[in-house]
Amino acid sequence: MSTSNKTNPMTLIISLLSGSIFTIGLIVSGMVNPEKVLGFLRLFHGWDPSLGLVMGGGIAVAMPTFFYVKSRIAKGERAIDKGNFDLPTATKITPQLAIGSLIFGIGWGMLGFCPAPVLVTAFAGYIESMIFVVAMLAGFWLHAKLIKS
Amino acid sequence: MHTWIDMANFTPWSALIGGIMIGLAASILIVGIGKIMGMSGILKSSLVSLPRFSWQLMFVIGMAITTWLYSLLIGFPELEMGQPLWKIIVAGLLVGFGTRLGSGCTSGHGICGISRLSGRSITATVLFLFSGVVTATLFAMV
Repeated sequence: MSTSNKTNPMTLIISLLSGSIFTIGLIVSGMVNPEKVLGFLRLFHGWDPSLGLVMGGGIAVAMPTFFYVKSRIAKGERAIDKGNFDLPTATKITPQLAIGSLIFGIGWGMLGFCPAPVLVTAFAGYIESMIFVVAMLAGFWLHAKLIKS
Repeated sequence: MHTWIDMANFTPWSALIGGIMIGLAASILIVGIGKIMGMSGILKSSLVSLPRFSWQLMFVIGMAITTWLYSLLIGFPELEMGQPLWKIIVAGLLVGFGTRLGSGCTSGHGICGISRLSGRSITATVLFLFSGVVTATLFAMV
């Protein structure tokens, strides 16, 4: 039983820290600005490569970390909070994965909003972001309804 | 080469530094508590697990507190918003539905999934980048 499923204080503090650093990274990188995202996604309108560098920077740090985590898993070791590592086990590329990703991309390309940055700007007080978050939650709900039926 | 890059808006250093911080956040979460930093999943779980105080809820609270502190101490960047209501609602629904159907978004698949060399995540990222580019480009033409 993974101890991180319980409200272990260390688990919560680490999560709080991660969420905080993620937020600063989102703001500093400019990804909270939908115009910077669209600047990357819009072709033929003056290309802003910034988003590519954000992803590149993120992967440059996270990739060695995941390699390290895989070696810990192989040795039967646990996460710092003593919980198990919870890596996704699915490997098949399913229609849901493909269609869902295409649909997400359409929504993303319309405004340049994706879940994390829009949450930050909603917290920062932008009404448009708050409305988007509500609509996004409605989208979560619709999906949950769909898989139940 | 130089002319088709929007040099006025390209911010290589802040993009790189911000990206590194995002990678650091993902690293802290996976090494610290063994969880993937996928925002769509985290947001959904934080609400679904209520009233239980989950790690996901704590993550979202961390985002809120940090945003407010940042706004207070440094000042949140001024952003151009004012998008039409219908567009916000439609885009929000598509992002909400699509991220759940596709099991992830830019942080989950794009950063974490690619970093662990997941074929599913690499595929997902290619696909949402593709439809993102097509959509953004088409909307800019109208």
